[in-house]
Parts: sequence; C-alpha cells; structure tokens
Amino acid sequence: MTTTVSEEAVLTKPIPAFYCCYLLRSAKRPSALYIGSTPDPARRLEQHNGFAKGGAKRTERNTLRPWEMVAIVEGFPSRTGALQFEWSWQHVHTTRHIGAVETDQLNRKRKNPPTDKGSGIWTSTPKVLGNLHQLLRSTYFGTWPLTVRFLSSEAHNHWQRWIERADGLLPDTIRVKLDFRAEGASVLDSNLPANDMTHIDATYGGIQEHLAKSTSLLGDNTNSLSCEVCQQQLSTQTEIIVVCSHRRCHAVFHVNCISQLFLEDEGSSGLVPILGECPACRQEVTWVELMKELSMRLHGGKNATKLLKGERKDKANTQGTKSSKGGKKPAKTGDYTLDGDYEDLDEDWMNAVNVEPSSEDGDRNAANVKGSTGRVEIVIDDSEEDGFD
Amino acid sequence: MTSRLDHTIVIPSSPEQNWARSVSPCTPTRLFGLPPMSISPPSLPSPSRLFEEIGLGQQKNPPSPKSPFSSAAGKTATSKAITENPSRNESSSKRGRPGSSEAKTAGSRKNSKSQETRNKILTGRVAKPTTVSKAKATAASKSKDTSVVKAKAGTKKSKPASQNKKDKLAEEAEAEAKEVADAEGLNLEEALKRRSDWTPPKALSLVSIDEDTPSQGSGTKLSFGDVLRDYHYNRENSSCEPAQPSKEGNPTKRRRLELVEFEVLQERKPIQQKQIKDAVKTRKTKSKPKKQLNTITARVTARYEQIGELEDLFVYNEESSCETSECLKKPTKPKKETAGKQKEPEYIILSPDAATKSLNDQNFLFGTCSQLERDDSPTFFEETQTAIQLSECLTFKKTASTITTASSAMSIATRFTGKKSHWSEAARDFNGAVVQPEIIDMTDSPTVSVALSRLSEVKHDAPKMASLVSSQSVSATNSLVPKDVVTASKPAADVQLASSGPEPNKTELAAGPFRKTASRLPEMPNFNGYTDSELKNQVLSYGFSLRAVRGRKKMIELLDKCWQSKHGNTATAAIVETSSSAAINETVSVSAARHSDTQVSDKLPTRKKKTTPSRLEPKTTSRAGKKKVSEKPLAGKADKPVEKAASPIPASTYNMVDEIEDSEEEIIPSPTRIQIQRQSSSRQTTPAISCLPLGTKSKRSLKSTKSSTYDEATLLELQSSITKAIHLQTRPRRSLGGSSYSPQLTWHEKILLYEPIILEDFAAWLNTEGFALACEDREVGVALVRTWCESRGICCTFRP
Repeated sequence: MTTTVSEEAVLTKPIPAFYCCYLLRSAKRPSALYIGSTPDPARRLEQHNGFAKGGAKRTERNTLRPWEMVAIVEGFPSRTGALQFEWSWQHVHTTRHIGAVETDQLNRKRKNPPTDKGSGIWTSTPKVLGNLHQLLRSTYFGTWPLTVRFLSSEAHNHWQRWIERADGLLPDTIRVKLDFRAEGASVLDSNLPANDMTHIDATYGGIQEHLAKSTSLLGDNTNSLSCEVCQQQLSTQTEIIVVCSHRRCHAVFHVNCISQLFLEDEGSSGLVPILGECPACRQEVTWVELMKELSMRLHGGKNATKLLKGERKDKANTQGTKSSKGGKKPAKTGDYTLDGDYEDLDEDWMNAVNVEPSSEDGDRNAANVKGSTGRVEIVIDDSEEDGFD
Repeated sequence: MTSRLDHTIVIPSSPEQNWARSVSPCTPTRLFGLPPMSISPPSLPSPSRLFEEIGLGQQKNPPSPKSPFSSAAGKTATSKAITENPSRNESSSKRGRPGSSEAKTAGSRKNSKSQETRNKILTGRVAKPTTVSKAKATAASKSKDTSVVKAKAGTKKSKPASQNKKDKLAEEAEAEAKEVADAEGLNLEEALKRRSDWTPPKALSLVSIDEDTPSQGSGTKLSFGDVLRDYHYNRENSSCEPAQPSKEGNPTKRRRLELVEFEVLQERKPIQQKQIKDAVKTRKTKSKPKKQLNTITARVTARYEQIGELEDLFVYNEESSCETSECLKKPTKPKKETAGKQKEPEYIILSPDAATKSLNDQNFLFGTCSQLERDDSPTFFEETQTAIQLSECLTFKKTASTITTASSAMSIATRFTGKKSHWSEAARDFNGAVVQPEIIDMTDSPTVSVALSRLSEVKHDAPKMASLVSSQSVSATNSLVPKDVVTASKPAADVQLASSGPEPNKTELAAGPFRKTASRLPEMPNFNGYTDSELKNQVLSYGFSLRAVRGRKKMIELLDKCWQSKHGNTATAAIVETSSSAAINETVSVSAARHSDTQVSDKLPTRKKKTTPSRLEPKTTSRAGKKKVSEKPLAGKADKPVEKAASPIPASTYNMVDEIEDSEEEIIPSPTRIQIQRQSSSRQTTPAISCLPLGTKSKRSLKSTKSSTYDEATLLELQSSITKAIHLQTRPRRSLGGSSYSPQLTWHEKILLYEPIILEDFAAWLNTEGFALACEDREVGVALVRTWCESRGICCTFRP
C-alpha cells in the first residue's frame, strides 16, 4: 500500500464478498483447535484437510484430520480487519484491544496459566469462545458489522455458558447466527468433515443485482438524480452516491447524508452507522450491504465489470465456461470469491466466474450437505495467500 | 534300593513326608534299623543336632544339672558318641528306638513328637546348618550324579565336612553352652549362627504338626508308624534337606527364611496345646514363647500377651533375653540381648514418654509461633506509637507548653507542610517565641538527654525516655515504647499523658534525619529512613511500578530524583497553597500529624545513625521554619500540593477521600488507636478531611496521564478536533490517475466505506490539512490517531 494519494483510489480494494475468521476443530481430537481466517471457508477447509494445497502446517497431522469448522465470525468489511481480528483472537493476551483476558478465570486452578504463544492451536473450546466474546465486546471490534455463525451445537452451548458468566452483552452490531450442521467426520469419508462449508456463500453474488441496479441508475440518467435526504442534485463524477439495496427502490443518497441520517436514527455518536431505514422504500438496510456495493462500484474495477457481465451471462442462462482446472464441479468454481489478493486474479478469472444467482445457493447447500465427497477434486488456482495466518 | 519300597510302606502312616522320602532314600534304612545304618553316617552330620538335642535334654532336666551336662554333651558330640541317649532317657526312652546310634536323631524325634515341640524345633534349627553344609555338598555332587544315589553319596561326602563342622560346633557348643547355660543351656546360638545362612525346611514343621496330633491321640504308644515317623523325621532333618534343594533347584536364602517363619508359626499351635496338657508345660511354654518371639509380630505382640500369662512373662524375662537375641539373627551380640530387651520394653512403656517427647517437640513449634508473635510485635509497636502520637496531637492543645513544643518539633520533622505551618502557628498562638527556643535547644543541644529528661519529668516515663535517648539503641526503644503504649492505652486520660511523654523523644529522633536532609535539600525527605513498605508506597505514588524498581537502593535513588524534579518544578505553586491553608491549620496539623506519625514510627529502627549529625543543624532548619513558612510547606507537601495546584482538574474532593483511605491503610488500627480516634472523632471530622493533602492515588493518576505524551484534556481535545477535521474535509481534488468514475474519497467516506485507514497517511493529512480545518494548531502523532480510530471501531493499520 505504498500508494500515493492519487493511486489510492485505484488500488483500494472493495469490501470483500466474504471474509471470516473461523474456529477449526479436529474431529478426531476435539481438544485441538485452530483459529484462522479466510475469504472462502470451503476451500480453506479443504486445505486444512489436505485435499487442496496450502493448508496450515499446524493442521497437517493426519491424526487430527479431518478438521471441521465449529464457528466462524463473518462479515469483515476488510481483509485487514479480518486479519487483525484473527491475530487478536489468537493472541488474546498480547492484543491491545482487550485488557485482562476474562477466560483466564477458567484456569484459576492453575497457577501459571499457559500463555498462548500465538501458535493458533488451542485446547479449550470454551476459552476460545470466551475470548471471542470478549473480543467482540471490545471497542475496536465491537463496532464492526460481524456475525458469529455457529456450525456446531456443542460450540454454541459453550458460547451460551460463557455468555452467562461474561460481564457484558455483545454490542448491537454483532449478530449471532445458528447454522448447525452435521458435525465430526463425514459418514461417507472419514477423512472429510461432515460439513464442508460449501453452504456458505462466499461470493459477491448477493450484491450482483444491487450493483447492476446502481450502475444502471447512475450510468444512464445521472442528471436527474437527487439525494433522497438532502434533495440536492447528485453528481456521479464528484460525489459518492449510495443506492438503496432493495430491488425496486431507486433511491440514491449522498453517502454522508444517508450515514448522517442513519446515525441520527440510531442515536449513536459514532462515525459509521450499522443499519437504517431507507427514507424512500422504508425498508431496513444494513450499512454493510450498501457499502459493499458502493465499494465494489468504486474500487471493483475489472471485478465489478466482470461481475456485471457475469450477471448478464447468468440472465442469459449461459453457464460460464469452466476454467481449465475447476471444470468438474461448476457450482463450486463459480463462486465470486474474492481471495486475499483481489487484484491478482488470473486472466481466466472470468472463466472461474460461473455466475449463479444467490437463489441457487440454497439448492447447492442442500446438495452439498451429503455430497461432500464430490468436492474433493476441486482445486482453486488462485495463489495462496492464506499463509498469512 | 529297598528303601524305596519301604517308603511306599511308610507313606500311609505319614503321608506328609512322602516328598521327603522320595528324595532321600536314606531314611528307610534308619527306620528299620537295618545295616544300612552304615549308610546312616550321612545322617551323622546331624550330630550337630546332637548337641542341641543334648541341650534339649538338658532343658528338660532341671536347670542346675544342665550346665555340666551340656558341656559333657558337647564333648560327647564331638566324638559322635551316643550321648543323645541320656537326654532321651527321660522322655523317649519308652518308645522303642531303632537303637542304633544313628537313630539317635530319630529318637530325638520321638521325644519331640510325644512331648515337646520345642525340642523338635530346636533340633530343626540345629539341623539347619548341618543340612546346609550337606546341601552344598550335594549341590556340588549333583553335577556328578543325577540319581538319588547322588544324594547319598553327597551326604557321604559331606560327612567329613560335617565332621569338621562337628568339631567346630562342638567347641562352639562348649563355649556357647557355658553362656547359654544360664539360660538353660540351649545351644541355640550356634543354631542362630548357622541359621543366619540357612533356615530349616518345611518338612520339620510339617512333621511337628503331625507329631502333635497323633501324640495326643496315641499317647505313649510305640507303634511302627511312630517309628517310621521318627525315621522320617530324622531323615528330614539330616538328609531330606539336601534333597530339597535338589528338588527345587539351588537352595536360596529366601526360601529358607520363609521356612523359618512357617516353622515358627506352626510351632505356636503345639505350644498352646501342650501348655494345657503337661505339667512340665512351664518349661515348654517358656521355650514356646521364645519361638513366638522369633517373628517380629510375635515380639511386638508378646508384650501384650504377657499380661495374660504371668508364667510366660517370667520365663520370657529370664530366658528370652538369650533367645530373642538369638532369634534376632545376630548371634554374636550377647550384649544386645539385655540392652535390646531393656530398651524395647522401656520404649514401649515409655510410650507416654514418647508422647511427652512429641509434646516437647510441639513446644518447639510453639516456640516458633512465639517468634512469630515477636515479629508481629513491631507492627503493634508502630501502631501503638502512631496511636500515641495521634492522641498527643489531639490533646495537643490541652497539654502543657513543653509538650506542645515537643509535638511541634515533631511536626517540623515530618515532611508534610501542614505540620510545619501548623507548628509555626501553634507556636505563635500558645507561647510565641518561648516555644521555639526550646525546640532549638532540643534539637541542637548536645545534651538532648537533658532536655528530654526535662520533658519526661512531666511524665512518669521520664527515666525510660532518657535512657532511651541516651542509648539510642533501637532495641531499647522497641522494648520500652510498647510498654508505655500499653500503659497509655488503658484509660483515655492516661493515654494523653503517657502518649505525650514518649512522643517528644520520637519526634526528636525523627526530626534528626529530616533536618539533616532538609538542610541540604530544603524539602527532600530522607528516603533512607523509610521502611521498605513506605518506600514502595512512595514509588507507587510516583507512578512507577514496583517491578521496574527493585531493591531498596534503587527505590531510594528514584525517589530522590523524583523529589528533586518535583521540588524544582513546584516551588511556586506550593507557596500559594500554604498561604491558603492557614485558617485550617489546626485541623491540618492533626491530619499531618497522623502522617508524620506513621512515618516516624517506620523510621525508628533506622534512625540511630542520623541523630548525631542532625543535631548540629537544627537551628538553621528551625529558623528556616520560622522565617520561611512558605518553604516549609514546600518541603513537607512537596509532591502533593504542587500537583494539586498545577492540575486544573477539579478532583480535589475525590483525592481527599483517597488520601483518607491511604492513611487508613498505612495505619492498622490498633485498639488503642481506635479509642483515640473515637475520642478525637469530633474534632477530626470534616475540616480535617478537607485539609488532607492530596493522596498518593491522585498523584499516580496524574503521573500516568502525564507519562503518556498528552494530557487527558488535550487528548480529548485533539480527538474531538480529529473528528471535526474529518467532517469538515471537503472533497479532495480528483486524483490524476483516478478513473472518471471514482471521485477521491474523503477520510470520512473512507471510514464509512470500511476502508482500513492507513494511520501514517491519516496522521499526515491531519497535521497538514485536517487540523487547519478544525482550527487546531497542534499536531498529532500516529499513536494518538490510532487510539482515536480504535476507540471508534475504525479499522486502521499502519502502512504495510
């Protein structure tokens, strides 16, 4: 990021479609835990389980495989933020975002609680979840639009237990989502986790429509647009314009105006709102989705155009051509995964984009619950930047 | 090998011995008194037993004849003579013996059978060593021959060895017999010696059992079966033993030991039975208990058993000394017998004594407790001291002028400004100039003791105090003062009087170091005089962590530096304060006195050294006190008031509360002090509190905030100005390379877009443009920007 001010706009990445920190647990030895982050949990899980290149070294041992994701924290608006959160979660004792680690109470019996050396390997699920809870309550992460998704009922039980003892409540910005899946190793293949995480949509599919709408709105008749809040004319060239995410709503706003409005509604003194009601359609919009589209529009560059093209393709019911490697399972390769290095997407990125409407995700999820073995062959060809963790 | 046939015949009569027979064919020959008796010589090794048997016979006989007899027997034994016969005459002669000299052993068996297990046992023991030798011999011979014949040959071969042994044994027997003669002439010691290497086989014990039961039933019958038994018995003793090892492999000591125990156990039963039976029992019982004692458990329990059987007791006492010692497996320690015996019973009897011993040990523990109590005492001493001083301060007005002067001196000594101002005022109020000269005398006078004595004259404690001062020994002060305190604490009125007495001394002592330091650096307290705990408190008050500063020296150095720096900075501010506090001086003095008291009390131990040099300088200091009232406060309060004045933050009340807490913490309320407090509570109330100097906590907080480059206030201002600047930012010019579609984002928009904020860039923008917009002329560092971002949940990062 050695960008000059002029270059920033170009090189700034859009908000990732999906970025999460996950808690990995060994199906064979539940005491072995791993904290990582990824923009694509399904692929990352394959890596951890040895079916794709690039798994973390700590998860290499066969005695611990398969690994399963028991909880993920998703919704990070930036890769940087996700990595920060990951690091803080791994290093709760050294992070500057929380003071005394509350979960240290748990090993009150021990005189010298083992200090985490940043190994990423943990031994106590309740402790890790307690740490997560405390992190999410911190002033820094507490305002981020994060969602904790529990994929294991057991993990959620630990979480609940911790919530009862923890001092504070999670801030409003943090949501908790229960997404219980089959746990442990897969019945069909003991080397695979029962839940391969493919049910999670890690693509920009969700904002595709939104992006298309906004581009059409702003691109065609720019002169007639006026901010719904301040009623002033909008200049697409000089101003940052937010478009309501709801399909039929064509409201557009100054980003400052709408943020101000939302903040006022919330009554918060912060800078970034969480969500608000669109003044035009009176429907609730989350700030993140607005910003996701906006950032994609602003910084997406090629990606945005490709996304739009893909949408068009999708509308035309054309299945994208398969990439050389990933052709076996189109549903999988078609994700609009924005990986760690968005700008490094290959030339055949377009090929990998097998545009699928978000509605299809549900079907895929259903199919994937049992069809986990089918994904073994898939190799994602993008460079592996998950070495970060 | 007719013997084997015989064996088969024998078996029904005494089935138990089967194994033995099969092993050693020799016995049958004996049984029938057949010529094989020539073979019997192998049994001769048993002659060693003969001695014992003789001994047994002796035992049977009344003790007096025994001794000569036994010696004779020993001699006969050497010659392999049939000396056994006489011994058997008594008991077993009735039973038909094989009549052969070799059958002697068998005869002995008979005796043992019918009459006394003891005899058997004895024989068994004696047999052991011999058998051992045989066994060894057989073991050696084994390699040559494999058949049973080997055993015979072995026994034969072993003869010479056994004979040699016989000779030795005979000699030993003689010697031992003399010794043992006292204890009935048993040759047990020999047996013990051998036994150390070897123990009799089970066969013996088994035999004994068998013998007992049939003997009861058959009485004196001489059945063929009995004869057979006898032979078996003999065989077992003599030749079976060598056979055993052949069976089981190499003989091991363990095995034998087990056998011994087994034997002993089994022998017990017959003992009991026979006790009931025979009139001769007494003897038998004697011997039996001995055997019982062989085992450790038997020994241990024997004491308790003795109570039941007086006879046994006596016998035991008489004989057991020998036997027990023998049983102890250390045959060569005759001395031990008596000693060991005595010891054991003593020990047991003395079990209460042991308890008392343990109690004594506990007493030592208690001693440590008392030591602990001593440790506590100093704190108690301090507390009492402080309490006294408090009371003195409270009663300060009431007391005589001399006392007031003393107290005032004390106040001077303490570093707190309040005291000094108060002292000066008090001086003016009460006695004016008169008071101070006295003070000067006190401090200056080389004859402090005189002044003290003058003061002390008012009080009862005068002599003590004088001695105290003169001696200047800490220990003396410690010992003396508490007494005073105790006396003082009882009645309230007494408290005042007594307390006033000791105080002046203390104050003086305390004053010494202070003035000394004061003369050099007008205000700095002598941290050397502080106790460790106080030093720690001080260090903490300056905002340092105790971890960083370890060691007394370091702490002192650090405190000195802090003091100096503070003093230099705050001189002006302090003056203002002092002037303001004039009206409340009295109450101030009280509170100040409190602090001073605690400090003084802490310093007591270390004070000695400084008293002498300090006396030279007091005049100057005192003058300074008079003239520069303003300065004194500086010296005293130095840290606290300065900060107070400097910091615009209106935390005064809060600080005062803290201060009270601190003072409370320092002084652990002793009962006396509590009393005093109650008495003085009316006075102390609000004014005192209001006048309390700022607490250490307040210092701490201030320091900590200061340590970070920004004040909280400025920090808040800066942060607010940052937000201001963000909101005020206008859209930057469009970047040159930027696409037409994307205008340049403002920082606010970046934040709204969840873009990670590059802290360096952001700080740079703030310092160049942003603060200009917000009319902020200060600059911000990256760290501050970072805290600002993080406090608002804005994702920020350093430039990667």
